[in-house]
Amino acid sequence: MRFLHPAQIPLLLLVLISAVAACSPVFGQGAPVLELTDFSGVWAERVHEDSYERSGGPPLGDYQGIPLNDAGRRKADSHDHSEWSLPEFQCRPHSAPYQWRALGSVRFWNEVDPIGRDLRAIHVEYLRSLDRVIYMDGRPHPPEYAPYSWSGFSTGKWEGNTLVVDTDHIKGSYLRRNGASFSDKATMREYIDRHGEYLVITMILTDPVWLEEPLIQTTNYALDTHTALTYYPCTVSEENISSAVPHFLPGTTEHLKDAAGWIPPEAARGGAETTYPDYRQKLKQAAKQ
Amino acid sequence: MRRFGLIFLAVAAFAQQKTADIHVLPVQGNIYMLVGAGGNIAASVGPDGILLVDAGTSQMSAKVLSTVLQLVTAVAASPSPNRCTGLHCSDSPYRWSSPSLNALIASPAPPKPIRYIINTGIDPDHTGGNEALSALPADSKILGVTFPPVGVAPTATVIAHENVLGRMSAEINGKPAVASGLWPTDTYRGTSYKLSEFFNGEGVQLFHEPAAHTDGDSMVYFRYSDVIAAGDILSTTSYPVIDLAKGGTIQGALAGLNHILDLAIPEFRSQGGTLVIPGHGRLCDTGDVANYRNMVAIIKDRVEDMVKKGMTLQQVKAAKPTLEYDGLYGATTGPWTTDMFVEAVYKSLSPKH
Repeated sequence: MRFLHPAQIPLLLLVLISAVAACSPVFGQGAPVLELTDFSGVWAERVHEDSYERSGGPPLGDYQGIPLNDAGRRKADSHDHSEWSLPEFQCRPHSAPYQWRALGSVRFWNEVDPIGRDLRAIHVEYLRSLDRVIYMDGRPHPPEYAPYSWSGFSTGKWEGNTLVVDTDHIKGSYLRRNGASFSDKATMREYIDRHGEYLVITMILTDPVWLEEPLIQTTNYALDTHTALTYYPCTVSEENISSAVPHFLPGTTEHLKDAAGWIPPEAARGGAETTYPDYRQKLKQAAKQ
Repeated sequence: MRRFGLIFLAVAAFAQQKTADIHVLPVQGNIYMLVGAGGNIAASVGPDGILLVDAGTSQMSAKVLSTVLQLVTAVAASPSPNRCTGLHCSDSPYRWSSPSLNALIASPAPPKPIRYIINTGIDPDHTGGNEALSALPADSKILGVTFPPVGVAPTATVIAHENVLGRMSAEINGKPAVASGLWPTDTYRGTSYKLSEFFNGEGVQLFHEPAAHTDGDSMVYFRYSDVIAAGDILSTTSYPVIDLAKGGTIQGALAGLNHILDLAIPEFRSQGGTLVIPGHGRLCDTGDVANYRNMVAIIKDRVEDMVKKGMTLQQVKAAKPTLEYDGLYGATTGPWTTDMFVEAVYKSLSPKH
């Protein structure tokens, strides 16, 4: 009987590990679709991206970094913050595209078939919003005439360890709390990655009505095992509320000119150009001239 | 049988069912939304039969009828409700005659007929099917079932605001504007009207919107199912269609939308709860109606401001008061263009009109 030389053992182990890995759905190419990453738990926001606009809210008239087209800019300019006093909007939750950048933690939990153990759906809950369901069972998206929601209708699939989520049927709402908005015709793709105790959400929002290019942004969260989502009720108040819809007429938006403060006025108007890093160089050149 | 099977599956799965060009969306309670017959149709389907809010176009009547009869058979003509899990029935000691088995082996009862049609307005995409759907020959057989069943009056009651009847029956060149077979059989003239008894276990209430799309618009509120059929007061596919010649105004259209919001109660955070079936487009709730109402109010305010400044219609159009909403509701061709909408708003608000 022939034995291995001790120096050959590491090589053999490497071959064995490689063989196992090639057969494993986790590592193998073309592996069957399985739940690859568990996001379950409560995740706390980091608030280091665009943090100046996320707690107190952004300045009025600052749309930099949002690829608004002319129609989207008009929509944003007409925004009056008193809109939040409308009875129908006082309890309006953040919509799915805005939600990742909102304050508060997020909780993921898996809905699993108790018999087949299939992952039916991943639920995502936010502090002041609604349960968002990401269906993982291969169901199609509903027809156009089905109702829309603030969270939209989401289906997910795995690309490696990344959860890829496609969402439509989203009610139109704000992208930034100063009136920059997306419309009902927007669709969203998200890539959700877990790196140990950190979560990275990459969102690509496409809106043919108010954006001239897709809005792409990433948001980070960190696993927080010592917190929980709390009850967050909302009561509509109707005392001293006008029945009119608050907004600014075109030509009455003088208040927007200096609202963005330190931001160059042309950058504050937003647009696709303002979303790219080299736009800063353009601004610097313009300032020199 | 295969078609029955399909509809059972669709209802059970709470999914939309396609029958030819008619799509069925279960809404909530007794109410289903039929899409593809012209204007949207709301159908109350249950043990009392069928109540339709609007009748679609005349061309689609046969498909509408076929679809609602399948629905009523699937929903209300089964031998008995099946409350069993497998063969274990808490309400029957006899395994072999359990409701579960009866549901499998018994023939369904004949489907109950269309008892009421309520017209939300006068337009042919909402009233074109009135005659065909309400007055069927006694020997009609649909899906092998005699319709209407023996002993049931062969016509449905067609209800609308009296302004609808007035405009349909008005003579033009010696003839009525609309053929008499399409006229409502019953009208009301107040601000609201209630069916005199429950239908399919709930009260049904009509509200007159006196000057919205026209002067004859009605909204229909199903009080237990908590569904409002809004007719052409709400559309998710176009700007409000304001028929000035028939008494429509932008102010009335806005009032109608606010009335929907007054009636509706969201389930949670401006979503769900009372559901609203628009005249055209997708199923809505409070949040959707609020977004649409805001759009209408903002455009009205802009045009009103321009009218006060003395701007002409051409100047108003050039100022593009609808700019940001054109991608959602605008059109440059077809029966209701953005230009026509702006003109209707302008004329509604202009003192010269």
